[in-house]
Amino acid sequence: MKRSVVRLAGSGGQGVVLGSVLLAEAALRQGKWAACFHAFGPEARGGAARGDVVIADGPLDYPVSQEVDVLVALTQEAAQRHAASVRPGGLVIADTTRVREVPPGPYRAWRLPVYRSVREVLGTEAPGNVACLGVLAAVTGLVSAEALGEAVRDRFRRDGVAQNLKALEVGLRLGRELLAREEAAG
Amino acid sequence: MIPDVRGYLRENRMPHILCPGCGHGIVLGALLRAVHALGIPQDRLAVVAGIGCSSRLAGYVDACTLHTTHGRALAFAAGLKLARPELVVIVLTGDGDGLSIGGNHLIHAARRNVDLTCILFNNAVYGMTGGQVAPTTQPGWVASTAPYGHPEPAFDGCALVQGAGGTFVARSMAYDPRGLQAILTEALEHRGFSYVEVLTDCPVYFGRYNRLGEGPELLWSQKARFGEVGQMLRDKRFVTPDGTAPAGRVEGLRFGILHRAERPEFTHVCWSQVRRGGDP
Amino acid sequence: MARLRLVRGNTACAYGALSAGCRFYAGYPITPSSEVAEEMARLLPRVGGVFVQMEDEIASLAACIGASLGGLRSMTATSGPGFTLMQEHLGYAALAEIPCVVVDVMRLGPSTGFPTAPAQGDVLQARWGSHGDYPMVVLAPAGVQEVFELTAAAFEVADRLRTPVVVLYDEVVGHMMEPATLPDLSELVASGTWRRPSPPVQGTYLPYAYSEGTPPPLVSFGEGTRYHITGLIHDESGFPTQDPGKVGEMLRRLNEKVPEVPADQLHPEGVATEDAEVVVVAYGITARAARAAVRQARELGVRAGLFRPRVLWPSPATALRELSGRVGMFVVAEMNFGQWAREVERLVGRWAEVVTVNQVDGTPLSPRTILERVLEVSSPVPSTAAGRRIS
Repeated sequence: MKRSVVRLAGSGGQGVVLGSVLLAEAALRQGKWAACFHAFGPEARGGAARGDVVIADGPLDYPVSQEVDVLVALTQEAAQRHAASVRPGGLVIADTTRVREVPPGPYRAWRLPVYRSVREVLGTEAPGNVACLGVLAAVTGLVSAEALGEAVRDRFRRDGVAQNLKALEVGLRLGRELLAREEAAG
Repeated sequence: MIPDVRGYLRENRMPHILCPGCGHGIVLGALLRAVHALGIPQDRLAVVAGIGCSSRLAGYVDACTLHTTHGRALAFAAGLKLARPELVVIVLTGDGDGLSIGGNHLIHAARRNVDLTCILFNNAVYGMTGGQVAPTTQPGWVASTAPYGHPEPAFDGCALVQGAGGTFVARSMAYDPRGLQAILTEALEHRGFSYVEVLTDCPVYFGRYNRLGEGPELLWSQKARFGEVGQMLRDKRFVTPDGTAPAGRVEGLRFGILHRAERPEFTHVCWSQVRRGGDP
Repeated sequence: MARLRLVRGNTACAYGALSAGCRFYAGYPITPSSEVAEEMARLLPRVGGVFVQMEDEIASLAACIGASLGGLRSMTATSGPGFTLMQEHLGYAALAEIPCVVVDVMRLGPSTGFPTAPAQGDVLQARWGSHGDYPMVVLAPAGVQEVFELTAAAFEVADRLRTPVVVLYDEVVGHMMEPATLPDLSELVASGTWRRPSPPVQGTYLPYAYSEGTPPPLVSFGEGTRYHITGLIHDESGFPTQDPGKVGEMLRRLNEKVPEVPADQLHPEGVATEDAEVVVVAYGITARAARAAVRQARELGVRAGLFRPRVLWPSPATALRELSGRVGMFVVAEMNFGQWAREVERLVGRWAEVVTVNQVDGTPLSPRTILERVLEVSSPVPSTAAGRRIS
């Protein structure tokens, strides 16, 4: 059965756990099967944190994955540490707010100022994780923007919904612009 | 007139296991008279006990009785009280049970202020296992594991429980069963964690090892060691006369109701949260 | 309405307990089980139950036993170091025959070990961790939905057999999120404070007077029936006895009361075992890897199957022995150095070969590793290079 694995990796407090849950919930809304795995160090804030999302057409015998198809790296350390887990031909999306360079490897690497753009638009970086999901939806099509929007509406209350939906838009726009540039570049 | 409290006993469980001259029976008698005086129905009474001579008393009380593990009676009792707040839950524990292996449970029950009445039988020795030192054995006294005199200082259980947040703290002794009954009555009426430490005597080990004599002599020795008890209980002052104790010193022990405070009771707080459906 | 959602294993555990009527939780925080406590702390007051964080794991299980005697279905959850401390009261609950549920989310040990890493090293401790001879029921869910179902089943078994039941799963199962169908909170709220019904008592209540191999239903404290419970060896009345005849009889009954399959939903699962030459035996997350490995082996033309116990203790002796009548090779895959494999060897070793594949390095056993072992032992000339032959 076809499976796609997305890893969100950064540091504690950046929202990678919640981001991974929203991604998996969006996949569920689209009738797919999804599972999430989280890992972090003993620090509640600032330590390494990651969330893996496995998306498949139906239930998986064994959802744990060693290799990932897409890595979303939110810190330099995360890019350094997890790039080697990306399968050949996979994709690394690096947030240039905190990632200076992506280690070279047999994958595509796209750089986008996700958290910075969210700060510019919303005055806070807090919903940067949701913006990352917008980028993912735009460039991979793994989940739809609509399903992500529904997941956000289900998860947050009042003000949180509006803010996170805006962040989602920021991500979608960054993703679409990137695709347009890639196409233009041929 | 002393009321007949045999109705509170499981007479078919007699004879009991306590040794001749043991002070524990005096304490149980005072407790049952206090329960009787308060008119607590037997069906509303639960007695929870740990391990040791004193804890065996639970089996002789005609109530719902739970003989648990060494030192943990208070933790069992907290669960029972939370599940059945309408029960009057009495915990019987010894000095080794409650202050050594169960010390952690004692301070946390006091801190939570669970509505339990904890009676700690302090005979300064492990009786059931053969006369070893307890955390209440004063320095210098002899025990089977302190043949040359106990090298450690002793716990003051009342000070400990008061420090941990207990809201009713008292000390009495088997020598003074009427005073003990009065204190136990107040302890049972108190809403919150009440701790009553009772000095009782073990003639078979503590008395024999320290040449204090048999049961009656030990009681007299309590009196001798602690002076004119009645007056001192009333005055809430206590000065240990030294020179009467064969070894070491007994100092600083105070008698009577030593501390009272009003704080929210744990079971009540928990069930209030439940009644509000979890709303703060 | 129950609905499908993305759920963490430990959350499913809390929901399983609540849906079974659990209304008391006492626990002590420990990774990787803490989410169970957090969910119970959040949900219990809303459904008419009480949560308390105790001073340690010893007190936690003691409070559960006390509350259970008060008529509330009770649970605690922990991990290796706390499970070690709970052995004292698992033994007490087993002997005093007080129902309760203990969840052990296994991390890598011994001692403090590797708190966030999965392992399956508590399997023998779950069975034999306390002193003396006593019965133990240990359930082993392999996924989030099953954590919900088996936790709920644990309460039924605990009450019916009046015994502690351990729900044992690894860190991966506890922490991963998968789609699962759970009841809505509103359904649980509607059920309110639930108490185990106490049967009416005629005359003297004999809490240990067995009939047909089972102890009588437990009468709660406070229901107007006065009786005695002790951790001493006791007779039918609950009071201590030293009569060798009564002591021996009481312990024999106690140790024989748990049937091999304690409830209908607890039968072992067999996958492609009908024509299998090699059967992989695995539980928890390892069973999921084994299932993938078996599928891959079949694609390679190897007649492999999977035997997955839902109940580790008592071990499914009948089912395993029956299988050994037609299967010559068992591969026991575990995240320990062969704990349950000893039981498989004991049960089928006279009729079949039992080999193991073990991994204890902080990562779960992968389908690939299990597949390699399966291919190795199913080839015409089996190699013994990897893994261990049990002896």
